[in-house]
Amino acid sequence: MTHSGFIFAAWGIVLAVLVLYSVHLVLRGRSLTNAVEPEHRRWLDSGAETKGVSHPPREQP
Amino acid sequence: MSPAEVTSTGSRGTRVIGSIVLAGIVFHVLLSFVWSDPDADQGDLVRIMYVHVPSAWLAYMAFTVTAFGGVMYLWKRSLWWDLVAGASAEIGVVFCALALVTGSIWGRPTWGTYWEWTDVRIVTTLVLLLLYIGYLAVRRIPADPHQRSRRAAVVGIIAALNIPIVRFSVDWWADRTLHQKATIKLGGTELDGLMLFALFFGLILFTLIYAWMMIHRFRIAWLDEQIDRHGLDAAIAERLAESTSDVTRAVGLTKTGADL
Repeated sequence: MTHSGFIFAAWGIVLAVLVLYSVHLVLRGRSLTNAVEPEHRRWLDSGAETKGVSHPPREQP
Repeated sequence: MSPAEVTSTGSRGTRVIGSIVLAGIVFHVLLSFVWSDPDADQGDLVRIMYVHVPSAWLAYMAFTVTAFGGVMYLWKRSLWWDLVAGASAEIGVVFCALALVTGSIWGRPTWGTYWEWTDVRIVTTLVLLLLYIGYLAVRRIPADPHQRSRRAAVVGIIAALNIPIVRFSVDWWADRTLHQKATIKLGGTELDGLMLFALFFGLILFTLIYAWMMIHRFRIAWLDEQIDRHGLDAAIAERLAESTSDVTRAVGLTKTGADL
């Protein structure tokens, strides 16, 4: 294979960046999930809160 | 699964997509390095195209989703669309940077240079990257949530006007670019066989990677929003409780004084 250094460098950078970014997403997701109260963790159940509603009004304390 | 059992932004859906992606990466490496032949003109360097072109494609797609999310936010005033737009922009920046880096690596042995400032495709792609880094910066400027989202939506839409300029720059300014004209067109393609298949497989694979990242990044943005919102609510509640106890104490003191 000719120019193998250039080819492996390009592929290596792409794979490394994608893997590192994916790991970053997973770890950040885990830490944020644990920082949120259990009742606010279910994004899928909270469609009414986020879909079609602009920045939902704050709950009155 | 109860909310308490949710301990990450992963789900069955992301695990299925993730498994397909991992298998797809192995297949794409074999396809690109073992099964496909060198190109008649580029030789083995064509193998860089199997990651460069999908990266550029995903950058365009991600930024288009950001602009669409911005339009939908301005129309519906929906936080959901604002979060989608922000998540897609960050992923788009990653892919756009990868497209520039891999293109630069490919350019050195092909054109004899890593970077050419007079090449319109390279420069407009760099401008696109900088515009969306600016978009992400705008999202971080402290402001009222409505104002921040509205501002970001407008920037995201204006920045997207550069996407067709990047895409068609090689046709519009053919004398100012080292890039070849579009190889894959609606009317047909100059590629054939396994090379074309490897390129399309790369596009599908990278689109799946984008989908996996989008789900995780959106959920992270959603959780961030929850922390902002409920964290502030808790602080307000705490301050109100303090004020109430101060008033009660003051009233208690007055009554005591009156009784005396």
